[in-house]
Amino acid sequence: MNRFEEYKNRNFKKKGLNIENTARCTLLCGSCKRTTFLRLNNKSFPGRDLTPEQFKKVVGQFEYITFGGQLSDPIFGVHFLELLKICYDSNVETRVLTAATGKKESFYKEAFKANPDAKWTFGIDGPGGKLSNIYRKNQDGEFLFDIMCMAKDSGIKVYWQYIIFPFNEIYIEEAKQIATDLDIDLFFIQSERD
Amino acid sequence: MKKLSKEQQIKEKTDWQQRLIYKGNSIKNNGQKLCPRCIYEDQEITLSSEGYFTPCCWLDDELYRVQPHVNDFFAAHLNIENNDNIQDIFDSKEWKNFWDMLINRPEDAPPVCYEYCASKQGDKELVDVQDDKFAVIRKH
Repeated sequence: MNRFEEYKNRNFKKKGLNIENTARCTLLCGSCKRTTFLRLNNKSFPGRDLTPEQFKKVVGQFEYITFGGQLSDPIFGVHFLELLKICYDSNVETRVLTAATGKKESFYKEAFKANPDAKWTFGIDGPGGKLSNIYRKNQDGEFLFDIMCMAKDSGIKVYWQYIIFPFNEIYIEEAKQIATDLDIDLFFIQSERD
Repeated sequence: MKKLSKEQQIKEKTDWQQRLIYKGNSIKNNGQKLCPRCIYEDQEITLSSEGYFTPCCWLDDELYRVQPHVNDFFAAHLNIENNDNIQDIFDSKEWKNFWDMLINRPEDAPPVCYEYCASKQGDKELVDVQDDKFAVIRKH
């Protein structure tokens, strides 16, 4: 096997796939590429919803799937619940990264039911969701925090991701205490982004 | 978010694209070695909301599409909708050329590759772990 073949096998038989399953997001986070796009273009954000038919082409090809939300938030994908279920039925490790709000609690209940094995990371930059919308504009942080707690109570593996900013630094110890009380893994992010 | 006029948008976008090219080229010209995360690390492949695959999430950004090779990934025949078997996409001349270039002619790689894969940018560094419950991660 030559280097090229080795590389190809390594990349596409074992690697993870990060999916933007939609083009929608309700947030306007300051350093997000999506926010930059909207600032620099006279048009809505391009893209469409990934369909179950399209998703089935990729689901068996990768070791794990990340619904990553680099430019959008996965919860707004029209077929998101179906995609989660396909991952579960296909026994593919599934990760969901979310920070946006705009869906009802019942939606999350369905999502957790569709794939109880999916690991969810919630981007909430303040204790209990307080102050989180200073950077994550339009986010209802307190609602999302409650959803994270509900996920935890439902047996879903959850991670709390907390980006450290000058405005929320003083709440780090409080966040740690909350995470300890709720038995949630908490990750603080020191970002060097502009 | 402050609204820009069309002229301001065009100027700001062009300036931004030029800054990114300059940034990547500066890293390259400083002699930093390219070590593509898509080859040597477990960088995830990305499927964009427009149905195109890229070797990493960084390439899925319109600001980089003016750089060499980047726009190649966004040709209609490489869209997931136009392929029943995604292996055909990765077997395409565009993907093969890109891999070949990264491995055999890294000096031809677009500035974005140098920006993220010849520098610490994009690194996630675990700086502290406490009681196995809290972690502090530095994101470059």
